[in-house]
Amino acid sequence: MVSLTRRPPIVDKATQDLLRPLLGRSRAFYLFAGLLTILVTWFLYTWYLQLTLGLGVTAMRTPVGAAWGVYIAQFVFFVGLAHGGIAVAAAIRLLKLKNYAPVGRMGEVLTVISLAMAGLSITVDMGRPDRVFNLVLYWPFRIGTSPLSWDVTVIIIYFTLSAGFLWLTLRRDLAELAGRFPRLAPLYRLLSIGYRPDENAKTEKMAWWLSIAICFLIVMLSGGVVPWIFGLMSSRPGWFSALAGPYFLTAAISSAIAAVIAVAAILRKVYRWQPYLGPQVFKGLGTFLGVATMFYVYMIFAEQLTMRYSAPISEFMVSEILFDGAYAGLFWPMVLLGFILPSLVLLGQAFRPKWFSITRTAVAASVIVVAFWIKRFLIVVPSLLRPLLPFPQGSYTPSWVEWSIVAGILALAVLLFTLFLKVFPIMEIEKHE
Amino acid sequence: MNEALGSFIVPPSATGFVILAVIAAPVAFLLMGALFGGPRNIRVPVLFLGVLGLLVSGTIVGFAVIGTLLSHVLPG
Repeated sequence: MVSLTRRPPIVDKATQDLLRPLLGRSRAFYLFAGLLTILVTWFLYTWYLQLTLGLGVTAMRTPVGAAWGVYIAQFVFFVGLAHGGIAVAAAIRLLKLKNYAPVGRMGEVLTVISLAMAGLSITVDMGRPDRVFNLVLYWPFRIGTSPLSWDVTVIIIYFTLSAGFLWLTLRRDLAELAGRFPRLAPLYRLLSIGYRPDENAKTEKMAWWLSIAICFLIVMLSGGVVPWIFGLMSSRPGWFSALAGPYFLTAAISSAIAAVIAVAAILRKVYRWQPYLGPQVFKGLGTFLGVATMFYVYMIFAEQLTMRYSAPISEFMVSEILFDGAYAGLFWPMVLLGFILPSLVLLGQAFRPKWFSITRTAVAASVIVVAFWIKRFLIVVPSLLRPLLPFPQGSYTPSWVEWSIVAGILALAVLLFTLFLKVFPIMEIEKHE
Repeated sequence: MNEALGSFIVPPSATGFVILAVIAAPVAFLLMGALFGGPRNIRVPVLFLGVLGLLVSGTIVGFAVIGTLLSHVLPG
């Protein structure tokens, strides 16, 4: 990519270590990126099939069946990742948690990419995505009454602020790197346009204010407008609930912290960043994740108790699909192996420090990420299978087209993260210097 | 009675505006804090506002571009 001989020597070891992804030219990296590109190409092909043949190639059906499926589950999953990711970065700045600073930018990047993937997941779910501009065109007529319009509006505000926040905190590093990477220098100079070292104090202060704004938006979006798409629908048993906001918010924060732990552990191993991503980062985040996930298990218990004890029969039937019906095979492993077991591992490590292991923490966090994906699926689908209207209960098993598209969007997210890693510093260089 | 009073204060057709105001007002206030608070510097806030403007316009234009491109793929 960039010729090593043309680059001025990097004398500082910490900087050289942190720039390893930009300097490296390992075959494994390009193989990995190539594999992801193949998956993304497959996604584009299957989406083309869906566009030309119609949503009939999916397993989504209405009125009997599920009108929303894995695409919407994936949308909620990515929105959750987006919120927790930058929540970590914002909390580090607000509370001055210097130990956790190395994972701050990872959270910021995770947020921006996840939001873009959330938007893509919604787009592939649309029967006529060519009318996507109608969101803007008819915005004034819809914003008064449509939770979907609130959602789009707040997501755009959130995306804008998060990307702006990332840009602001990247400027100093990019200005520094422009002299070291001649081929990338035009891009770095464009993004750090007008940078002067005397602006650092102002940038820090702006980032502090923006952190509060972002934390507020996280509560309003992940604990507000996104869950209200579901929670305000009285016609759907299982969704219509005042618990929806805190339920989604807890899931968002837990899943994103789990993702940050998994990503940080992988990067630590691959780029030999042991001195910069110390065990205390994983210990702290792991303990918080264990507590948050256990709190989420408590919320599942509270929700299911309400649905089963004396609720209307339709609520009970949705709960029954999870407890003993078509999705029991997903629900029980998710609760027991996906939430409770990893949480106990993480909390056990917190109480007995000698049990602590970064690998175990990363595995527990990865399992929790998968469990939260399944949970989003179980939020979306079973309620749609049991409508209040007089239709029989439907069934839903995603088609190969849907699985291909879901896998392709996940691959695209990983590919974008990998490309970011190759072009920009994923940890703040100045803080280590 | 309560329902009528509630509808008078926040008509159902305006619920979204109230929700957006509840969200946007604190964000706008905090954004003002970011732009005008702290060390005096006009350049960074102006650049930041420029980036926000570019991102919002880019998103809106992106919707139009994606819609137009997909209209060529969709049959009929």
